[in-house]
Amino acid sequence: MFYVPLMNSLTIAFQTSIFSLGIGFMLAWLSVRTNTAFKGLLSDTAMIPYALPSWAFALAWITLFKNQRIGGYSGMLQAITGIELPDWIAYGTLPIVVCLSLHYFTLNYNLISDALSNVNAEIEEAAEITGASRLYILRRIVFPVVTPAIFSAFILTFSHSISSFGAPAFLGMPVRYYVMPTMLYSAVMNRLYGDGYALAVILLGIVLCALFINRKVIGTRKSFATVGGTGFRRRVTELRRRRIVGAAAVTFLVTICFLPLGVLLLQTFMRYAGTYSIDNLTLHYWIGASDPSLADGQPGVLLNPGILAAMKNSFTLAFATALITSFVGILIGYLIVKGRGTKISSALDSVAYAPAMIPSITLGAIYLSMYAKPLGPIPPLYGTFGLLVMACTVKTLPTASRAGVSCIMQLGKELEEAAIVTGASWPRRFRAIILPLTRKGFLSSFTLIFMSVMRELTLIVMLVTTATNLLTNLSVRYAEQGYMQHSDAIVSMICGITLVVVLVARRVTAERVVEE
Amino acid sequence: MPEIRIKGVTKEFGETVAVDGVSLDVRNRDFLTLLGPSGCGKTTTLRMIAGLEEPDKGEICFGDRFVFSAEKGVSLPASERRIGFVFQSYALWPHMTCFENIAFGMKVKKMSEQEIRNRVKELMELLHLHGMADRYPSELSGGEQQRVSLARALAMEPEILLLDEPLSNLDAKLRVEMRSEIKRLHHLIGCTCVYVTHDQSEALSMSGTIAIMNKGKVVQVGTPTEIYDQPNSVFVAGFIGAPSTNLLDASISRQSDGTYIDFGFHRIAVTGDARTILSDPKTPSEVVFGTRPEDVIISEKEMTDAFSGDVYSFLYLGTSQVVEVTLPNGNIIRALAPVKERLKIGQPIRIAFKENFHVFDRKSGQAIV
Repeated sequence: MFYVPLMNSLTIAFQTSIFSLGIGFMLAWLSVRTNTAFKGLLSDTAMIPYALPSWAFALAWITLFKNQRIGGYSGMLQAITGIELPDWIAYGTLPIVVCLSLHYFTLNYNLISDALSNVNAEIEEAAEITGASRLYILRRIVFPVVTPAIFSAFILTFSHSISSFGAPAFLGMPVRYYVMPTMLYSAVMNRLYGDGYALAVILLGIVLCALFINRKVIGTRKSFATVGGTGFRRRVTELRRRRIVGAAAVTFLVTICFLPLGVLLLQTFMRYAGTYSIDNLTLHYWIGASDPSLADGQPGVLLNPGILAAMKNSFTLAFATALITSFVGILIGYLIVKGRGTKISSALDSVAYAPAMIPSITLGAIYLSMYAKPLGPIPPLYGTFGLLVMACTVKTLPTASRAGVSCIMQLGKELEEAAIVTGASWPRRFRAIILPLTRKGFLSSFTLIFMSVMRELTLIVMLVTTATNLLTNLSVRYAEQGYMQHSDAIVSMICGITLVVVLVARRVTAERVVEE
Repeated sequence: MPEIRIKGVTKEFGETVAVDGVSLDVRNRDFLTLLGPSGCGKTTTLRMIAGLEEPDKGEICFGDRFVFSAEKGVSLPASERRIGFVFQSYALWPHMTCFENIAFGMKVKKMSEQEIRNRVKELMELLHLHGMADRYPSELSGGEQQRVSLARALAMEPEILLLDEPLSNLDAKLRVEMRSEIKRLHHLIGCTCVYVTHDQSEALSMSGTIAIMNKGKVVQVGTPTEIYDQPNSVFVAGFIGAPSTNLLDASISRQSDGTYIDFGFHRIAVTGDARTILSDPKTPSEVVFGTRPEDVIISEKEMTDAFSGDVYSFLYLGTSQVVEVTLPNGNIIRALAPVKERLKIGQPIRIAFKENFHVFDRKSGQAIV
């Protein structure tokens, strides 16, 4: 029963990691190591796909490439050109890998472009003087130095994509193509809890293995930390007339961001899915009142009490989680930095980082099993909003505490010591010195967490109940029931919200740079 | 071992002229230091000698070999110039051991395993790197990293060794130790060295020749003593010397009974050669008077040709002390005084200048005497 989903998951995770690495590496190389045109635009747009949930790509894929064999109406491509795509393009491994790669390559881009920017041109010049060829230098000097980053990126993508629920849910479940997370989900939905938990543990095992291998390989003694202080220069390849590839890269990025969004939006205006003509346009799915002939009488999303309640829930959850976690993150960062070298500090560091190693779907399963019945003095929390906040807080804690650590590190200890000398108590120092000076870090951590909770699906999909519905799981439910326009409209709203938050986050971080 | 001849070399980066028509000869086996404030073009000049940067104009010759000529269209790549280069950041390859770092160039040249091993061993002994062969750069101290980078630069038996602020990343004590180490190496190997630094004491203590650079130009070339004793401009006088040279505005007053340097509050009579030059009416009268702190005498007792000032502060240096004195016009000058003078801040004191002074044209900054 587990074998096929396991193989599917491994295939998808492996291929996604390869593709994401390929795209991420090429873009990183282009933006760091060449003088390509549109460099700034390139590094800006390269971030956007990560802000969009990976299953938004999946939903757009169905809308575009769906064939008529499943679910009646046809996708946009077939409706317009008449070409009916085979199942393997419409559903299953290929589209899931593509959608996940379009989301996760940004992770690779980030890690690798950081590593590449840290390669000092002097180490290449030193090799040049010996007469080594350009290719030899790349092979023997540059690549080895960024290998740890490449490897980490690969492993991270692997462990994220193997536990991703959204894309396989949209692109696999309709044709009974299962991966581990979707299998887990349907097991739990069918009350096969034993199967579900077994899958959760297997998934956890795979991810821990991957991270362990990463640690083993990277954690050797050849730390590639840049040696020496001053004398830093970056190497840039002259592309001359080929500088225009930057334009191609930006076009690619803009296309993969805005084409899916456009497709989703367009679909929401279609009275009947699969018919693309002017007289089929409608605003019904946004602002239409209940009409029994369309979507079984579901009112448009902006008039639909269920969806509005979910929107309120989503905002509340994202806001509460972001607030709590960012604050706790600063606090933990403070404790870790101040206690540096002590056992407590490193223990706290490990504990705060631990949730990052647990696949979201497994974490969800753990919460489900723990709080479905009373746990000691704690009443069963399943079905409460508090449980969602708790799960999301734990999930985002690693991000927040990393941010907290770097904030406090930048702060330096002298500023607080100066306050100690004046006799200020600890709570006073924390309130009057630490918090105000880390507020930029707090804000950027807040926006990041707000965004990731807003689009979180995998973690919460098994924890929500009708009373605590969120936008993300509603979009899945509507799609499952065949109300595609509703699903598209909800996903468009989520994308809109996260994009706005990303823009705000950029403003915040940009201001910080200016202040420094 | 060749001499280096640089003629009219210019390098622009966009709008800024980093190196502006530099001409410079480095004698065979000499140790020449390019010294100047940051941004004066010294590192760019060095990188052009190495072939890491291509000049816009000019020529560079090693012996009778053109390594660069804009006119002839010659530009040898760095690897064919037979140079060794020591980078400011050391630029050790972090993923290679000490041994692999030193051996890399020889492997590129496809030397035999045995030869490589012998040569690396020899270099590691020369640079006191015993037992470090299998360590990675991150496992070495700053001083050891520096030695590895020197060993790597020497591995290919270069005719010319180029060093770009190699000591600037070391702590003060190690820096002084490495100075004598590099000087010893230069003596042992006998290659031509060009050394870039902004640290004047490094330059004065290590060099055979110093070339002072400012704003992309070489402003004075000479031995350390020439540079120290005969600065050819206000810039060099102000840049060289620690504590730094006193520079006072003054005017030349040509009287029937003699020629004087007039500070407003005091004047001193000039004699000898200086008098011949300064009494010439064609010599500019608006000047800058420069004197080193060791040539300023202070005393609580009366001296000939002395004037009064107040002690502003004094800094004890062990064998001597630097005394800062406020002059009647409010300027401050520094004097290097014996420690036996017991001073109090604010006390009046007598000041006199030794005859060992410099006079510069205030307009052009060039030396007159």
